Amino acid sequence: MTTSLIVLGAIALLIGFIWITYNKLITLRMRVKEAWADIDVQLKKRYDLLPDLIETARKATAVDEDILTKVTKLRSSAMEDATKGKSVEERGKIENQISNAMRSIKIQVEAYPDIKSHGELNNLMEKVTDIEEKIAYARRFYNGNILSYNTQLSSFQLS
Amino acid sequence: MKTIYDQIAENKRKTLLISVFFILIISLLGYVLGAIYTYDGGISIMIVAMIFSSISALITYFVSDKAVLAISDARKVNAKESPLVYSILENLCIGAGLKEIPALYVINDSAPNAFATGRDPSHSAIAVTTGLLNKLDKREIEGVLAHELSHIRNYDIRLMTFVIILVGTISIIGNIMFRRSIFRDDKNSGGMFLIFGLIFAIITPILAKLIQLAMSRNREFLADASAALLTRDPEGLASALEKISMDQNELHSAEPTTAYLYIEDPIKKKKGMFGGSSIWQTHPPIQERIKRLRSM
Repeated sequence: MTTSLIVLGAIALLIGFIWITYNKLITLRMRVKEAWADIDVQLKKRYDLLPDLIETARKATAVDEDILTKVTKLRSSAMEDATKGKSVEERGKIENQISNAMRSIKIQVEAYPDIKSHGELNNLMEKVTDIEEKIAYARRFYNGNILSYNTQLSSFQLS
Repeated sequence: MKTIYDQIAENKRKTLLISVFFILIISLLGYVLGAIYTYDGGISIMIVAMIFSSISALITYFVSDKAVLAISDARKVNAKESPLVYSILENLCIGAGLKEIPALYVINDSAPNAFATGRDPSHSAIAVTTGLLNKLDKREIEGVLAHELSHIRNYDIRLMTFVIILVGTISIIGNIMFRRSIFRDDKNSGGMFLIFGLIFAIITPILAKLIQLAMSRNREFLADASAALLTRDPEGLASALEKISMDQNELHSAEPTTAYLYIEDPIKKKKGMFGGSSIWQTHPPIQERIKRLRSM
């Protein structure tokens, strides 16, 4: 009698353990999704900011035309991918390219001789810096969540 | 060399260890009480002490953020008034995944310091002195704010309030036992037992206080590590701590009771202590903190 009770108890414990771990994985995966949504919020702010920046930079001839055209193209592809619901990896690639382009724009604008007097461009560049920082922080949070999820996943698979 | 994650894990383990030790001390105290004052009901003393302690601590818990801010003469600021600091705080909250940004306060004082208060992330506030804002650059301010935000995230304020309740309880009990040992001629307890109880009554509150300070130092290290993880820039906080430690100004509105809330002990200058290794300090020595940050 007691042996069967012990066996039942062990099975119950095992089921309980699997249930808890499974739920934890679901929670972590949800957090990853939410963290990506947070990044998306910042990316949308960037999409909104870009047209103004491109126009102002173009008028002031502060930045090379090819970079500006490139950014315009990247922006429309990125927004298209967003509406199509592409994966994190695919969207990430384009967004990284946009970030790189932003860096080149920033370098060129800073080298521009009359930058201090051009209030509007200055203002927009400040916003650009802030947005890039926000995206960086959002990415950090996302990466932290991915790490937790992957760690839990690999330990679950091992056990 | 320990990674950030190792340091954080170790800190959490230490906190657990200290808590368990604390509980053991209370149990021991309860046992001694029971042994000496059996017919008095030592348990009732303990309950009374705990209630007393809890009431005062709970009041502190709920009112502390307002009280501390009022004492420190802090002025609440919004995004328009301090755009730079506010955006730093906002970005940190994005990095931490905190949807609610703590209220931001500024204290008019030339001593560079900062503190965090509030029982949980939705009822929290961070205060910085004008001295800090003027003397530190953006990277360093980011490090300091990340440290304070980490206190809030790690629920340190709640933890320390709980610890202070325990210490208060133990002190009250120790006090009661001490008085009783002197003034009562207890036929129930033999001489040796009385002396033992007396020593215990004196030592335990001191021990409890030491544990509280050890815990406080532990949480400071944890907040440093969490901040470095949040900003991915330990050097920012390290150089901020360096600047703060070298500053000779005294923070005018600091009180010993709330000293543990600040990023660096505001009282130490008054006592002339030099940040050397002492078990009586609420904060770990700054040099040690800087060393740990720079080794990450």
